Amino acid sequence: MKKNYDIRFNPRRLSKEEIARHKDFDALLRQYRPTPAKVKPLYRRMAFWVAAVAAAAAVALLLVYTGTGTAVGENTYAQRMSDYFQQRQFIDAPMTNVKPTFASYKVDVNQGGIFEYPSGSKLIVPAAAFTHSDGSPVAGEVTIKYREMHDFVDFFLSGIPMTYDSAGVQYTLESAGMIEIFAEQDGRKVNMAPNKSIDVELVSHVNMSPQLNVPPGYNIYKLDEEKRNWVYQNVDNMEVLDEDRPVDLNADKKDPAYKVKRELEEKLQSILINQESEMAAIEASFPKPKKPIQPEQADPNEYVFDLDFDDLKNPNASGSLAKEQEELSTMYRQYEKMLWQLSDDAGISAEELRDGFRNVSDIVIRKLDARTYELTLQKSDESLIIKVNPVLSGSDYENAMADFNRDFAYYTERIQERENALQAQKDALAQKMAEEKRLAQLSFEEKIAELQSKGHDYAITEEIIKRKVINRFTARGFGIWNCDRPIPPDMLILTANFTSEQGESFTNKTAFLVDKSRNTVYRFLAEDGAKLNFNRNSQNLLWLITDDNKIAVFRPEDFQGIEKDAKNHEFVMRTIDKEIKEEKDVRDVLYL
Amino acid sequence: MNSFRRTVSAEAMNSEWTEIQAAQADPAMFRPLYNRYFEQIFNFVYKRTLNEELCSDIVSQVFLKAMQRLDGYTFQGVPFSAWLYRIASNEVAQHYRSTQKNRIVSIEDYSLNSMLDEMETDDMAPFRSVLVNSLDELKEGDLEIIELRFFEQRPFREVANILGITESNAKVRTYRVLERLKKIMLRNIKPE
Repeated sequence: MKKNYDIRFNPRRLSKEEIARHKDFDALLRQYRPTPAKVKPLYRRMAFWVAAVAAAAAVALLLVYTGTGTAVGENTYAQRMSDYFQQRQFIDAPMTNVKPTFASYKVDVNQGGIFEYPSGSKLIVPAAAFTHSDGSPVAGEVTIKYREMHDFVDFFLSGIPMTYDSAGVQYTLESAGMIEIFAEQDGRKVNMAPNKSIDVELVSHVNMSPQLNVPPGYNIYKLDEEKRNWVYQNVDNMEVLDEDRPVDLNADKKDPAYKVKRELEEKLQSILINQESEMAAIEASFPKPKKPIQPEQADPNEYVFDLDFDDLKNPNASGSLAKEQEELSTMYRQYEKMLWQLSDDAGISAEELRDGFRNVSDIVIRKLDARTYELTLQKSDESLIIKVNPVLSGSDYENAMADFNRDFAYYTERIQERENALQAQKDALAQKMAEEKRLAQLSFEEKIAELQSKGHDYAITEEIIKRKVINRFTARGFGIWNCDRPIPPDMLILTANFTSEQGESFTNKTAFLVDKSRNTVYRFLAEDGAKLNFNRNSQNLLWLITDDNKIAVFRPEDFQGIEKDAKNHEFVMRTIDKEIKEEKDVRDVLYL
Repeated sequence: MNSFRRTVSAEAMNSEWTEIQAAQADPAMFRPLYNRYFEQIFNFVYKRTLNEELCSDIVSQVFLKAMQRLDGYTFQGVPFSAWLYRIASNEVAQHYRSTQKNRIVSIEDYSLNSMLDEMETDDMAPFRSVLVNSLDELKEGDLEIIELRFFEQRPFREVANILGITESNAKVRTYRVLERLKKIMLRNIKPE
C-alpha cells in the first residue's frame, strides 16, 4: 500500500549544543536583501500610475479643504477651526453642569492592591507607587480616582478631543475605551513614582466586522495636555472576550428591516452601557471593603514543599510583578515557615512535581488570585507550569486564623451596611432599564409596522457588531489613557451652514458629529461655510449646544434627506426641549 | 492529560512588538528575535525532517523570509513565534513538494497514548499499529493539527495561533479530525 507519510517513532532529540552549532545570525544578515519590488507587466504599471495620480489628486483636495496643506494662503475653514479650538480649553467639557463620576479606591501605600471596577476592569497598583510633588515618597493611604469612558456620549461630555495629529495629518481616534486616573492624599494630587506603573485591564466593547476574529489593531495613547496632543505609548494588547458569541454571518443587508433591526440592537447596547455606567456610579458611591483572605492550613496528607525566597526570581519585575515580589517578601517575613502545596486543579500529581523539580534551571512565581500562585519550573527547553497555594502550619496558622476571624467579622458588618445602602438604588435602576428596553422594543415594532405599510427605500449600512474585549496596558503615569486607532477623515465633503427650526443661524459654536459605526466623536466649528466630512452610508448624528444649554440635533433620518450629489447643505437643527441636568438626560436625547 | 503548557504573557508580547518595530526599521535589530526563537523553530523543523543539515538549511530560509517579510508584519495580539511557525510549516511543506518524498512525522510513544486517551477509546489501546496506519490516511492539514496538539503537546491557544484560526475553531477541528480518525481505525481493524 502506498504510504503518504514517513512515520518515525521516538527519534533521537538534538541537544542544545548541537542546535546551537547551526545558529549564526551574522551569516543570515549577510544573506539578507530587502525584497525587491516585483516588476509588473506594463499594463499593471500604467494602472498603478493612474491610481497614484487619482489618489494624489484626492489628497490634494483634502488638504485644500482641511487646510492641512501649506500652499493655501487664504484663511481657510480649517485654519479658522484650528484658531477657534486653540483659543479654547484643550479639554473643553461642553456641559459643565454635568459632572463626571469617579470611582474611589483607598490604597495602602505599603501594600498596593488590585481594584475591580464594576465593568469588570481591573487596576493593579504596586506598593510604594506614589510621590509628592517634591519627589518624596508618599506614606499612609492614597485615594485613587478612576473613571471609564466608553461611547460617544462619554467622549462628548468629557470634552476630550478625539483627534490625533500625525505628521501634519489630522486623524480621528476611534476608541476601544478610555480611562482617566489620578491619585490624591488629603485632597492633594500625588504623582506616580518613577519606575512604577499601574497595570490596567480595561473591559470594553469594540466595533468590528462580524467576519473578523481578531479586532483591528488598536494602540494606547496618553493625552499630553501641555502639548495638546495624544502621545503614542504602545500597542493595545486586546483580547476578545465573547469569542463564542453567535454571529449571524448571513445577515441580509438588503432586508428592508435590516436598518431598523440594527437600530434596535444599537439601542439595546446603549441601554446596557448606560446600565453599566449607572451601576458603576452606584457601586462607586460606597466603596466595597476588601475581603480578608482565610489562611490555608497545610494538609498533612499532601506533598508540602518549601521554596527558598532567594530562588524566586523574576528579572523583569515591575508593576504588578514587583508588587507580587513584595507580597511574597511580606509573607515570608510574617511567618516562621511559609509552605506551599499543589492547588486542587494543579493538573499534576505530587510525584510528577517532585520529578519536575529535578534539573530546574529557574523558578518564576506569579500571583493568579488571592490564594493561588502560578509556579513555572523552567528547564532547558521547556517549562512546567503548575498552580500552588501558600499554606501555614502550627502557631503560624493559629495566629493567622485569629487575625482573619477578627477582620472577617468587621468585613461582614461593612458589607451588610453597604448592601442596605445600595439595594434600593439598584432595584430602581433595574426597573428603569427594563422599562427602557420595553420602550425600545415597542418602538422597533412600530417601525416594522410602518415599513410594512409604506414599503422601503433605505440606505444600506455597513455591518458592524460590538464585541466585548479586554484591553491590557501599563499606565506609567496619571492622566487620560485611550485605547484606540486613528482613522482618516471621510472623503465626502459638504459645505454646511446650521440653523434652528426658526431660521436663526448657529455660528461660531462647537458642534459634534458621530458616525455610529465608529466609536468616536468628531468636534468641529459650526459656522456658515463649514466643511463637513461624513460617510453617507453610515448612521450619522450631528448636534450642538444652544445658548440656553439645550441640545439641538440633526438625526440619522435627517441625513437621509441630504441629496446624493449635494455640495452644500443647510442643516436645520431641532432643539430638544429637555433640561440637561445629568448624563442620563444627554443619553436620552442623543440615543433617542 | 499531563502536558507541559507554554504561555506568552501580554507583557512579553508587548515588549516583543517593540523589538519587532525596531527590526522593521533596521534588520540588524532582528538579532534578539532570532536568538529567542532559533532553537524552537529548529526543533519544529527537525521533527519534520530528522536531518540536521537539511533542517539547518530550512531554518535559515525561515528566518531569512521572516526578515524579508517583516515590513508587512502587524501585531495581531498573538505571539510573534506563531508567525515564525507558520513560515516554517510552509517551508517544510515546500521542501517535500519539491523533493516528492514522504513527509516525516515524529511520534513519541507517550504522545500516542495521550491521543488514545483523548479519543476515549481505551479498548483500542492494543491497536496502536492500526492507529499509525490510519494516521497515514489523514489529509496533510488534518495530520498537522494532530501533530501540533498531540505529538508536540501544544495547548489549543498555541495551535490556533500557529494555524491562524481561533482557539474554539482549533478545538472543533481537532475533535473532528479525531472523529474521522476513529472511523478510519474502525474500518481498518475489521477482519478481512
